[in-house]
Amino acid sequence: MAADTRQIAEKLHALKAAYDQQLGPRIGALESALAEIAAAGDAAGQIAAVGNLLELAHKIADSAGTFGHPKLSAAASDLEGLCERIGKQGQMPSSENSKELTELVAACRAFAEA
Amino acid sequence: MVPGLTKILCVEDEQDIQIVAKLALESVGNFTVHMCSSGNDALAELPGFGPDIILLDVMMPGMDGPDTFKAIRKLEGYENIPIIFMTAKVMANDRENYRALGAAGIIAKPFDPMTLSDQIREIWVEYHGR
Repeated sequence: MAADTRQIAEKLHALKAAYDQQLGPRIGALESALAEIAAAGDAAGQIAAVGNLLELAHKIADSAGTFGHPKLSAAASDLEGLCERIGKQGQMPSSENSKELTELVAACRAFAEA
Repeated sequence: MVPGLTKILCVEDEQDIQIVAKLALESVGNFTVHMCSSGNDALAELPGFGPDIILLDVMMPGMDGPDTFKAIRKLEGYENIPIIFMTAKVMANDRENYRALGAAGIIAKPFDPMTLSDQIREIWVEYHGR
C-alpha cells in the first residue's frame, strides 16, 4: 500500500465531514425542486421540475453511501427511480405520485439528520 | 501472463465521488489516475493519458456511461481496452446488459475506498485470463 492506512482514514474522515456539511443544503435543494413541481403551471413545467429533482436525487443516491449514509442513499435512489418513472410517463405526476415524492423527500431529510 | 496495471482513467460526474475515488486509487492502490467529469472529456483526454483500464460511471448527464462506452470502442487503439462500469443500479438485468455490452466488470456504488483498488485488480486479472 502506497500510503499509511491511518493517514488515508484521516483523509477519508475529513472528506466525510466536508460532505456532511453540505448535506443540509443538498436536501434543501431537493425540497425546493419538489416545491417547483407543485408550483409549475402546466405539464411541461412539472415534467421539467421532476427532471431537476431526479438529477439532484441521483447525485445524493450516488454519493451518500460512500460517505456513510446508506439509508439516505437508498431513499434518494427510490426518489430517483420514481422521478424516472414519472418522466417516462410524460404526464403530470398523479396525486399518488406527488404524495410519494413528498414522502421520499421527507425521508431523505430524516436520514440526513439522523 | 497478466500485464501490469498502472494507469486508470476514471469518468465520474459527481465531484465528491471523484475526490474519494482518486484518493482510494492513488493512495491505497498506488495507481496513476486521471479523472474526467463527462464522457466527452474522457473521449478527448483518453489518447493523451493512455490508460490501461477505464472506470466509467453509468449515469452521467449528457453522454451516459453506455454511450461513452460505445464511443470509446470506436476510437482507434481502444477497441479492446477493459472498461469497468460503476453504478448504484446493480440489478441482475443491469449486470447482464453491461456484460452484453462488453464491460470487463461492474463495481457497485457505494464502493469501499479501502478495497476499490483490489476490486479493480481482480477484474483486470480476470479480464486477461479470459
